[in-house]
Amino acid sequence: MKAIEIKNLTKKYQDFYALKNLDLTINKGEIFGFLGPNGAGKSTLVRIISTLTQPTSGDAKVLNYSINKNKKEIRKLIGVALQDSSLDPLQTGEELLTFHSNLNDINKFEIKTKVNRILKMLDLYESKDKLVKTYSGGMRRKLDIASSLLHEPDILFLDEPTTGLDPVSRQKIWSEIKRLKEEQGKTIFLTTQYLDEADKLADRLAIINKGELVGLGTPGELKSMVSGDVVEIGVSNLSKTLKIFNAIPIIKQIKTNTESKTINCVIRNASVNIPDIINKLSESNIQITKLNISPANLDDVFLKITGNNIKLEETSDE
Amino acid sequence: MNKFYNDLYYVIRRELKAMKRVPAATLPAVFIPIFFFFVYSAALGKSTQFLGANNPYTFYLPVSILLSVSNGGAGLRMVSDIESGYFEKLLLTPVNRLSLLVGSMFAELFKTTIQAILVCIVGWFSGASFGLGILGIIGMIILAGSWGFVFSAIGYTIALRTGNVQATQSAFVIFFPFLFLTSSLVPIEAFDGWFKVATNLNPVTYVLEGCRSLLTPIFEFEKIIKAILTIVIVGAITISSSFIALNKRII
Repeated sequence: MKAIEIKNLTKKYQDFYALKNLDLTINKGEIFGFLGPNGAGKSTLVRIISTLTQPTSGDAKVLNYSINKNKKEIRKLIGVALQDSSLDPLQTGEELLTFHSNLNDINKFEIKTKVNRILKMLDLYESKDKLVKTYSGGMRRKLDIASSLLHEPDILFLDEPTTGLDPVSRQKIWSEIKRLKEEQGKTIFLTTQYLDEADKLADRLAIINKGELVGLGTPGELKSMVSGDVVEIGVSNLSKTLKIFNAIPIIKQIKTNTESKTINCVIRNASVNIPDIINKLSESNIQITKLNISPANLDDVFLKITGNNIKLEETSDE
Repeated sequence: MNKFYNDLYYVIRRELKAMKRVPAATLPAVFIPIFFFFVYSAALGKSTQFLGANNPYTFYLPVSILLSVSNGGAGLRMVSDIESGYFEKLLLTPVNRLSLLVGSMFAELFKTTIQAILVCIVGWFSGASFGLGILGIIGMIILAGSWGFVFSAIGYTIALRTGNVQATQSAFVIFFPFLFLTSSLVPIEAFDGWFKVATNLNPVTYVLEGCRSLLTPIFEFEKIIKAILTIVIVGAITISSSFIALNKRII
């Protein structure tokens, strides 16, 4: 069953494509991760699907309702927590949720019970009478998510839900997201620039770069695109090592760092092949100062697909 | 339509709670007009008496009330919501869009009416006379409050068009020349030349004269009708501008 079906979606600002001919399907009940650096087009997509922004061309269907024709219907079916936790600082947590319940046409007799239940669920009950302006970043983010859940939406959009949060708050939000999927069967569309977040939470992932879809699959499938292990090796002679590495076919994606005199590369079945490589370096009187072998992660996938590290790409705000 | 009234109620309630929580935001709108009320009455009292106004306090009270109802910072809450992103959060709900604007404007009306009442009380204690009694006071507050309401639409229009706090604050600056190109300082009969022409063209003159007429012992029907017509015409322009601005802000 499809929850969201995006067809040929484009958003253009003058000469700049925020999204370019995007095609994507998100299934009901899955956590779908949308990964990319700042400015890649993640938030633009969330804004378009959640009816805040009009696409330049193309369409998307949310539970069979078109974003171009059925905005009102879509708003009743989705919950959205945008990138910046934007809440009214002059309301208490409870007042804010009650206000949103009323706007969402929730039965008046159920509002108090629902609000209290959701406040307890997100560990905000003790602070319900405090003004939102006194809340910490993590509490605001949770309150924002709570306000998006009040009307029990079928699909929840979380736009970078943990950006700027401390590790403890991040873990708590992650548990909530998992719980929402497992206990309530919600479809969750999650954008993130954190690779570990995408890896841990998402059933499937899309990687977006400069408005275009560059990768799609489960985290495992995407990681298998990097055929090998990631090796970081420190050496006494960088240029000589580079010549040797270039001559060995199983060593791929070689990148050098002259400052730290290290080489990063991908080596197929590194644990088996690395001793031979070390021997070759020793024969050429090259000393090894550092050696790290790790299985490929999503950052390596991103590097392979786009040619850049995701952190290096983070140059502009979306 | 039920959805509109339902949402309108909750939007007004939210705005009034916020006003209650930050009373300091309302103080300048009461303090500044009261300050001018005393300064004008003391400094220009004798001149206005010479020009035909019997009681300077009665003469300057409507000026201060209009100053107060036009100094409410209309649209500032909305523009803060726009800047912070909370306005978009509200747009993501099925809320009736019009209720977001109209609700804020009604809350503003409530606030400006309270301000007008406070200035009125100060005027009464200072010696202003109310020739038509309590009905005259109520009439003046309704006229001034209605003017504040239609004037507030300018602030909301700027807020929705620009999404910028500084630009929205400038709405009050627009009112200043309008207030002083009127019979605010001396009776209208004393004017001549270009100032008289400007005063006659200025809609605030008719609202001010209408308010003043409600403090005199004689009921001046024509002045009141002119004031009401002015409010209706200005309101038609400012309120429709704010509705258009809202439509442009949302998709």
